[in-house]
Amino acid sequence: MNRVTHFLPFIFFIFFIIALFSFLDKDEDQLRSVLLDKNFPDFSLPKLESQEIVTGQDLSELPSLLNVWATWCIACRVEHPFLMRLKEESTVKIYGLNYKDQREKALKLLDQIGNPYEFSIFDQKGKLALDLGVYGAPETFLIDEKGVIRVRHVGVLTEDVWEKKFKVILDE
Amino acid sequence: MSEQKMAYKFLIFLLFLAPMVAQSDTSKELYSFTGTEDQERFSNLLETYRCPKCQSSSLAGSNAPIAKDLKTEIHRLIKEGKSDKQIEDFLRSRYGDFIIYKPAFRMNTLVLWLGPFLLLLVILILVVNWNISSKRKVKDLEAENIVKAVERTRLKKLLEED
Repeated sequence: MNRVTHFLPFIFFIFFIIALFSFLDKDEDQLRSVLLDKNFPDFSLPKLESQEIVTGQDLSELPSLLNVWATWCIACRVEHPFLMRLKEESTVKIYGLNYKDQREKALKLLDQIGNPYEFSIFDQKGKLALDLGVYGAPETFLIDEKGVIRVRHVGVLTEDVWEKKFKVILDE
Repeated sequence: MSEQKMAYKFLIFLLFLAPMVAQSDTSKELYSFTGTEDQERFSNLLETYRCPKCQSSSLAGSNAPIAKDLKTEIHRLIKEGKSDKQIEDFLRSRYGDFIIYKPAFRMNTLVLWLGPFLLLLVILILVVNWNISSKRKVKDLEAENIVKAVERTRLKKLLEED
């Protein structure tokens, strides 16, 4: 009995270390979205490509991705080639959410490097982005055929992330 | 001379105090309210919510674009006459519990609140236990010594009798 109590602090210490290490693995940057499994929020915003107003009903080809991007966002450029590849290889449509940007700049950039989006929503004030809980770019949401948000990824969308986070849900 | 030195010291002391008044409240200039009450609410709310981007600072202490957006949004909600509760619901439905700088006392935050006290309790119990057992050891030792002394005198007596 005495021996056990002597080792208690050590045992606590070990548990503590294990707990801390397990927290290390968690990606702190990935805030769990409260919007998961909720309907995509209503919106009414102009298209980037024209002044035409689009709403949730215009995201018609579900399931689809909604990718938050901007010309000022460096990491968006990093994931751009992968989005282009997805557009060619995957059946899933990608909609863009142009976040706090300038229309001319955004259109010019898409002209230069290619446009992976069906269309982009022009959210200059970050209204829809706020409703989505966006706190940076890039962010990518997966909206299922019922219009429900199933996946949210903050940061660059890579092949690895696509396989592990998005594909599994799509294959269900 | 010494008076002059004192004056210098005092001036230098004042200089060190300068940063305390330098903390200007820029949010007050940018976001105007009609009543001082709303103004105060606004300032309080900015301290209550976390900046989603910087994570370890409140909205008040952050200049990140997203923090500015949220400030504007809170400003708008206050002007629309929304209550603090409604504003909290607004933010929490978008950013989750995380947005609240001081975590709420809820089931999933219980460990956060009670953990340190539990740990303290465990440590206290252990320390007390150790103290008791080590004192018992001392007492045992004393008793042993007494017994030994008694036996020694008895032995001595026996030897002397021989």
